[in-house]
Amino acid sequence: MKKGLCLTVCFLITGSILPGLADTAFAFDGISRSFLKAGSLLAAVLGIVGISIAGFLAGKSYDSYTGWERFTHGAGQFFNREPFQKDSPTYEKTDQHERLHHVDNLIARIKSFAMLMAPPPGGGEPKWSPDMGVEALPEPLKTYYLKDTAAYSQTLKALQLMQKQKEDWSKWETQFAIADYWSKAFGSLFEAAILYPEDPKGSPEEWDFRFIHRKSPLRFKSPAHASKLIKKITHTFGATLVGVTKLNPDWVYQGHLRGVGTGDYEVPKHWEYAIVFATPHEWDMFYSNAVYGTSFDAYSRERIIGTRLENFIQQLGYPARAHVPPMHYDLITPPIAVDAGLGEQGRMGMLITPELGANARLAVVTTNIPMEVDKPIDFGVKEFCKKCKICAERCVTGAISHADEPNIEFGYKRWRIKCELCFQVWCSMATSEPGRGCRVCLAVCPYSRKNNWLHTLSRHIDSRDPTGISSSMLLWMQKKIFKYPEARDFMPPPEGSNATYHKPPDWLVTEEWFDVDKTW
Amino acid sequence: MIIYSPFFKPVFWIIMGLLYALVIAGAPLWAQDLGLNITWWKWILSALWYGLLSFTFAGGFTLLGEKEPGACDRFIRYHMIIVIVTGAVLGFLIKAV
Ligand code: SF4
Ligand code: SF4
Repeated sequence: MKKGLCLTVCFLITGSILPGLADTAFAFDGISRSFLKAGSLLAAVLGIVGISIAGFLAGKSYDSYTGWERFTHGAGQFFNREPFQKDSPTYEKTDQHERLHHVDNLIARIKSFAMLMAPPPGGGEPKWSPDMGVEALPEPLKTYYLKDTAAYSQTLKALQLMQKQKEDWSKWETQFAIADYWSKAFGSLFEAAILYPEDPKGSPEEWDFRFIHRKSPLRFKSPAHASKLIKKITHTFGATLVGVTKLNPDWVYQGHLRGVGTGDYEVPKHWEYAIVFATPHEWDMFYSNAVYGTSFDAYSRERIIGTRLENFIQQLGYPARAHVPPMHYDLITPPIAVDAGLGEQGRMGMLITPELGANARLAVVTTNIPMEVDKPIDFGVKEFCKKCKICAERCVTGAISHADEPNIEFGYKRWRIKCELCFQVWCSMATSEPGRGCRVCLAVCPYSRKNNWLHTLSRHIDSRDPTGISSSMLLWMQKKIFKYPEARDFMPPPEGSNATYHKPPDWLVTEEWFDVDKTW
Repeated sequence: MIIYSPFFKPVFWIIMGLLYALVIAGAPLWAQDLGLNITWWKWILSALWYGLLSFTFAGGFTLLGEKEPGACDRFIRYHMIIVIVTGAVLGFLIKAV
């Protein structure tokens, strides 16, 4: 729009300052001299009006808020979702839908294994070791793995790989020093000793109310006011995208509640609404996944936003609980973001948004502020995923489904991710810890391109074409024009070559800045 | 960086606009000197073709800016085929019709 305005302004200026030149050109066409003179006077006036408008817009633009760029005021959420809104999300719900169980969460399972396999604080033997077998696992792990024996052996293999990764790290530490320390610097914000937001202690009926000091909540003028203010505030706290939805209880884990522990719990009554927000990873780092990448930059930003939002809402007099990455959740975030219209779930299981593609990490705050909710959207991701499969082709262990149609899980239609196989890759990369992850599927996704005019234009065209022709053309171009490393190349030698999708930015390359012997 | 300068950005687009304006002012003179009878629809087609050529290079160099030199190369090559074919058709239409 700004460019259009500038171009208009300069056309008007041209009309006013080039009458002499124009005289020759237009007089040649027989246009009278007095008409040209009147036109140039008008153009001079319009030029002043135009430049005033340009100045006004430049002054108003959040681009000028250095250090507080436009996303902090919501301008990063620029996609007009209204034409794409639907009454129900693009995932399909069957009659047999059910609430997720905490043990369905891979990270929760791995955490349980870590606790079982570590020696107790007072010394002595660990509670469990792999040679004791699946039967010796405590519930609910035992039942889970008895049902899925393949997942059990895949988990054991991942645990072995994890050990090897630790031993191998010294081989890579110098090469990937900046990337690793940069990641850990972000991760330092969620070490157990300095956890923001603090992990709940006690029941939600106490913990989620702990900062409330008002006798009664500050009443909003209307649910629309509530939703609008909460979104604006969440943006100022640092979120790029924000949405609001009623919380579907199926997305809240059963079998465990933070602050209380393992057991059967109803979804707390005050978790009526979910405010879901997204921030991206640093883009250049994100494209150099996996070895130069990390999830921790976006995670730590999400945690800070969650801490602030939880506190702000409680000061207003309403209960609130932040559910933040990497594992401090009582619920699963991508479907909540789908319900709130932030995007759609992709083949690789993650949220794909119109603004950030799959470069969107999520957190949720649950509350009972009566708010106007957002509608889910359909901007063509599901149909595109059916044809694309780029993420599945680049996934080292085949954790992502190649099926044309989504499967049914927990009564919902979605492409199944074999989490254990994914985790094996996390434990195999040339990184200091599995927590650094992989994210190759997110980086190679065609929706995860930066918001320059070219990709924004492609996304706008694709989402507005009901025939699917443009999506097929764009996909064809994507596969012809962009070249990706082969899946295996992402692995460390000898299997692969520590390949990255893009070259890493110079600020992540150790040998650019440090006096080291380059042996790689 | 200069491209983010609040001064440079609008000035750049103003200069671009001046250039386009000069193109528009000069094009009829070229047509007359070359003895071409260019009707309104031929002007529109020519402008679209010029847009396509601009798109080809703008798109290619955007990809280069994104650290995708290979994609830049392939993008420009594929689009240049379309530009050359449509350019030849347009040239024929302008001369013959
Ligand atoms: S890479 Fe392709 S198939 Fe995978 S999530 Fe992205 S669009 Fe869907
Ligand atoms: S993160 Fe890596 S291993 Fe996991 S699904 Fe994505 S590409 Fe596959």
